[in-house]
This record gives sequence, C-alpha cells and structure tokens, in this order.
Amino acid sequence: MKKEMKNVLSFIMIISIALLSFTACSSANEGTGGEKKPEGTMGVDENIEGALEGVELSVGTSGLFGPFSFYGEDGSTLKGYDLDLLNEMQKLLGFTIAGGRVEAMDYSALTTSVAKGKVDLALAALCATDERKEVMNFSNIYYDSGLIVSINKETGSKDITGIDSLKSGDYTVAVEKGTASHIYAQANIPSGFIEVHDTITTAYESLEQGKVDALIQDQPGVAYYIKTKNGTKLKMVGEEFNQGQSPYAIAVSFDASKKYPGLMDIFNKALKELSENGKMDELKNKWFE
Amino acid sequence: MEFLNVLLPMLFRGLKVTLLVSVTGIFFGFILGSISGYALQGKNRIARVAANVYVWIIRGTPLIVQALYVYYVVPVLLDMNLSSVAAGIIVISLNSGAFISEIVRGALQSVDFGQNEAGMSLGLTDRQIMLHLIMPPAFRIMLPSLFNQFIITVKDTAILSVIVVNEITKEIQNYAALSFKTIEAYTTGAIFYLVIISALIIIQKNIERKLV
Repeated sequence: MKKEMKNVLSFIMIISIALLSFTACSSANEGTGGEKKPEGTMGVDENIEGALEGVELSVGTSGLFGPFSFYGEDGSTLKGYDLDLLNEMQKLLGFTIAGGRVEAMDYSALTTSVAKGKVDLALAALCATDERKEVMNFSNIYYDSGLIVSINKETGSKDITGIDSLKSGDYTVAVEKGTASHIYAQANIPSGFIEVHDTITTAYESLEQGKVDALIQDQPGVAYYIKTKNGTKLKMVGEEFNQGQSPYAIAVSFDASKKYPGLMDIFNKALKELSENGKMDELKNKWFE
Repeated sequence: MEFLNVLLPMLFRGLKVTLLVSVTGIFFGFILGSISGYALQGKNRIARVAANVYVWIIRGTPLIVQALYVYYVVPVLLDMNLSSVAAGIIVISLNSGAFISEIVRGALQSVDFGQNEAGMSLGLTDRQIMLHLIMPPAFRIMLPSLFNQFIITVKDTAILSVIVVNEITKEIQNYAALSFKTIEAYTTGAIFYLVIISALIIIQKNIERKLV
C-alpha cells in the first residue's frame, strides 16, 4: 500500500504545482506599464518621416506564403511583398528591427507570439479577423483578399463548386493551422472533416495526393502556388469568400502599442503615404504582374 | 476555468483516437515483435538477418520521420491511398514491434536452460520444448516490459499529430491556435496525459505484484 500512497501523493503535488502556475502566469501578462516615448517626434504633426527614429521593434513573418512572405532559391533568404513593404516602412519611419533580422515561424506560432507580446509586429499576409483583433492590434488594410476553395483536378469531385459544397460535411478539407482559413473552417465545417496541417506545405501535398477532397486558403497564396508549382493538380473553384475578415493588415502586439502610444496611428499614416506616393502600386506591379 | 468547457471535450475526443491507435498498434506490434524476436534468437540465419535489419532501420530513424515517410512517401511508391489513422497504426506497429522483438528475444534467452535440459531428457522435440517449456515462462518474464512498451507507445502517438491524426496532442494544438490560450491548453494537455499514464502505471504495478 505504501508504494501506491507515494504515487498518489506525488501526483497531487504535481497537479498543485501545475495549477499554481496558472495563477502566476495569467497575472504576469497584465501591465507592461511604462509609457516610454522614443526620441524624435511623436507629435500630432502630419510629417511622419523618421517618426520612429531610435525605436527598435521585433518583427515576425511566416515565410510560408508566396508572394507575400517566402524563401528565395537559396532556401534561407526571406523575400516577398510583405518584406518589401516592411523595408519601405523602415525607410520612411526610421525604426530598426530587433536582432537585425525578421523571425520566421508558422502561422500558429506567429499569431500566438504577437498575442503574447513576444513579437512586436508581424507582416505575413495576415488577415485581420475578429478573433485575432481581440488579442492584437491591426493597422489599416494594405491588400485586399478573400479565401478560396481548391480541389484536385484529377481526383476532385465535380460536385465541389465552392465553399457551400463543403459546409454539409460530405468532404474532407485541409487547412493550415492558425490561419483565417482554419478559423473559418472551424466555425463552418463539421470538425470531423477538417484536417489541420502545421504548415500549408503538407496541406498542399495532401491535396496533390488526393488524400483530402478540398483545401481552403487565401486566394493570393493559392494563385501563386498554382502559378509556380510545376505539374500541380490543384485548381481553384467557386467565388472568393470571407472577404470581410480576410484582407491583409499589419499585426501589432498590445504590448508594443502600449509601450509606444500613437504607434498604430503612425503605421496607418505611413501606409497612407506609401499608397499616395505610388510605392504600393510599385510593389503590386513587382509581385503581381 | 471555463475554457475547460471547450477544451476537455476536445481532449476526450482525442483520447479515443490515441487509445485506438496505441492499442491496435501495440497488438500488431506484439505479433510482429514476437516473430522478429523469435527470429533473432533462432537458428535460421536468413530470418535472423532479416529481423536484425528491421530492428536496425526502426532504431536508426526518428519516429517522426517514420510517420512522415509512411504517410507521404509509401502511398506514392505503392500507388495506394493511406488514411492518417491507418498510417499511424502502421507506424506504431512497426516501431513498437522492433522494440518488442528485443524484449521477446531477451525473455526467450533468459529462461533457465534447465527447462531445455528437462525437455530433452523427456524426449521432447525442439518444437515441443519451445512451445510448452520455454514460451510460457518467457511470456511471464516479458509482461512487465511489454506493458512498459505500451506506456511508451501511448506517448509516442503524440508524434502522429504531424500526419494529421486527431489524437490528444493535435487537439491541444488546435485549441491553442484558435483561442490563443497557450498556457491553458498546454498545461491542461500535459496534466491530461499525466493522469492517463499514471493510471496505466498503477495497473502495471498491480500486474508486477501479481507475477512476483
């Protein structure tokens, strides 16, 4: 009997320690306090050039979404529309990137990092969904987008004509974890029919191999994949949907917004300026001929 | 703690899959491991080499790589379709089988040679000796190690989340991704596994006591 008592006691101890960590951790997230103002102007004036001079921000991206954020031929250089946009914002506002480089991670890790304040901003074709807005701030939209359904040309069912075909739970659908597609699927498709993949790579592969009936992803990403992937069997079907929740914006953590009040305002003014001086059009032409 | 209202049902849903894959996997793994373990200590040279190669490959590759390979590569090579759960059971069977073969081999070889001698003096054939005098005590010897392997297998199923098997770990990750409640998700998930494995360990201790 003694051995079992010891087991039970240590078991109770472990549970208590784990429960204590709940209370400890949830209070640690509140109050980063300290309204630190960066050197340079933070005023109300319209000229935002150099407004973030001396400010260091950590930036995250995914590297999983061409042509916004993906790896070049060498497999290690990040490039894309979002990386260029980040560059333009930096030139205009004068902030530096922490560690000298943008950190890449999958979407679930990325959104969680911003939500927890581990990363100050993220640019990765991020959709400003309602769920995300509860845990992070978003700039104004800088690119329009919507979700789209894709099927396998060869094995796909002819009956899948768009998102409504999938809502009844007759087909298995692959989505990428932590993306707007995942959020949408969770709310609209029976859970036994959703396959949640850690990265879009395995989701695309599953559709190419006919392991799933359909896939949901942002339209620009799928278009780029189909354009660049040799011999792909994927094709998009139906109309774009969920446009209210899908367009892209820059995600900024609550912590960073608190630390630099007026930060969101500055970013939005910068986006407006880049749009007015033609830089946005330049980027669109470069990445979407 | 109202997040538990959403998370716990998800975890129990995952538990069903975890148990399905681990129990089925260890069942086939035991069959495979017994054949392989017998071959490892047997007289047939070809069988012994084959078993050694099998164990070598399984021990030499990480479980996650085995899972990705069985799910993504094997179906293409053999031009067939394999569901996540089927692939998961195959991987677990192959993986546990290799480790069980070592358990079986060790148990067979540890039976006191006195048993063989007794059998020979009674005029029994090799086959009869093995079947009636060696295997029964060997089986009793290997039971604790087999149960231990079962516990390891239950934890190994967590890896299958990468080939989209909707077991416990996958449910934890899905919840964390959608709710951003990472601390709650991972802590509850860890405690969930701990409770299940602890129950299994208590059962194991009971089995051990009854055998001594």
